[in-house]
Amino acid sequence: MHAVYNSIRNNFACLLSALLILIAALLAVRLLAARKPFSDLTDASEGIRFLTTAEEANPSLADDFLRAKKKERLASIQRSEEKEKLKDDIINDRVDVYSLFKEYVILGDSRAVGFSHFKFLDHHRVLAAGGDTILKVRDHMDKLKKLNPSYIYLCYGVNDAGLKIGGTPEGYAEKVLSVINEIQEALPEVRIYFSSIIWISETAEKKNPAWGKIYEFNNTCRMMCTQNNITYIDNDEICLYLKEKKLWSGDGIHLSKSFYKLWAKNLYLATLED
Amino acid sequence: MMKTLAFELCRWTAVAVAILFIVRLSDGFSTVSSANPQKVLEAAYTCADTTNLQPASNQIIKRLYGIDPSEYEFCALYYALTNMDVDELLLIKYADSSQEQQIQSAAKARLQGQKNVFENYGVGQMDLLNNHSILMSDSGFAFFIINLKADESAAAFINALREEE
Repeated sequence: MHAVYNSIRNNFACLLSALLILIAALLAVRLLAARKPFSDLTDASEGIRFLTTAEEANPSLADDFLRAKKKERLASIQRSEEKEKLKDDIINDRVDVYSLFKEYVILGDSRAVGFSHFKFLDHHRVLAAGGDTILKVRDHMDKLKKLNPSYIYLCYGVNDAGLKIGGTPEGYAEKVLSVINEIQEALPEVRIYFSSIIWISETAEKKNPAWGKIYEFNNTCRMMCTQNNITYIDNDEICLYLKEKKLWSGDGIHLSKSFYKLWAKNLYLATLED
Repeated sequence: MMKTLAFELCRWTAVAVAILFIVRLSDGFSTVSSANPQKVLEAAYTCADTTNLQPASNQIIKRLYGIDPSEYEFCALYYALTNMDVDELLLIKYADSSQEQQIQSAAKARLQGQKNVFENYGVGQMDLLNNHSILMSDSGFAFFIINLKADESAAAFINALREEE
């Protein structure tokens, strides 16, 4: 009886020892594979880690990786050089800027109408009319969805400032952001650009002092765009030229034909920078 | 004989207890909380100052942080009601350390971006950005908040992680 008991006990002891060793081994594997709760944020890039292990395993793998990386870098440099060349060509009129506008829509007021009125751009893609404000965008949503552009340029402001849309410059920026969010929900892949409000002449400003707030409207919209990662197209430089050369039409509000190329260049260059 | 038996019984009981302890201990090495992400979010949100907060769509998360919510098991953002406020609360459940780093970089960039906007312009906003913002990762969750009650919200976040699903 005692011998049977001892035999059973010894077998059980062996079994239990084996089980304990197995559990210990599993725990060791698990601990080694476990993710740390707080990762080391010093940057050991994926590339370096790959090279360290790839070289040990297969030196030719590391070579392939390096070659691919080099090719990527060269392609990036080439794209950057091409971009710089195109920018230069646009600025120096070696290329017709209007021909570069593809898959776009311009939304705006009577000043934006000039792009189609003077036949610079396709009127189907210039959704603009006299008296329109940023709030008009909502009426264009169905057309926007049909056109499904890659780029949308918001070219409003003179009526918005005159009518004090939003009440204050800050309130206007909120309205603009709200509209941009709505567009983005409807067209998630589209890039949206806010074109700063083109200045009006001092003579015109005297007719409606509210237009004196255009600069404030632009500033708050610039801030709003920066906060929300929206591209703000700064037209101040071309507006200085507008002012210097008096490129307004007779009323000091609308724009002469010769100004539109400057505006188009500014719009397109912003897309390129993006 | 009875003494031997009793001794053996005690010995094997001790072994069984040791095994149970090891198995239980292995659960403690888990680095991912099993807490329900929605409940973690609710806990953190409830303890924040929600006066200026509104929920963000995925598009807004993409635009503000440059990250794609669809790449994460859980991703939620509350952001400021107006452009003059800077309150935000971001909670993301990530899968690995590379995602964690991506979120950390995005949150830091967001914080710095807001500081650049309000520097020399908004005293109240800068106070929140400098003194009431918290960025942390714990147990597979990344948490970022800019809020007057950032400390309370962060504490609620940590406590919620410890609760079992």
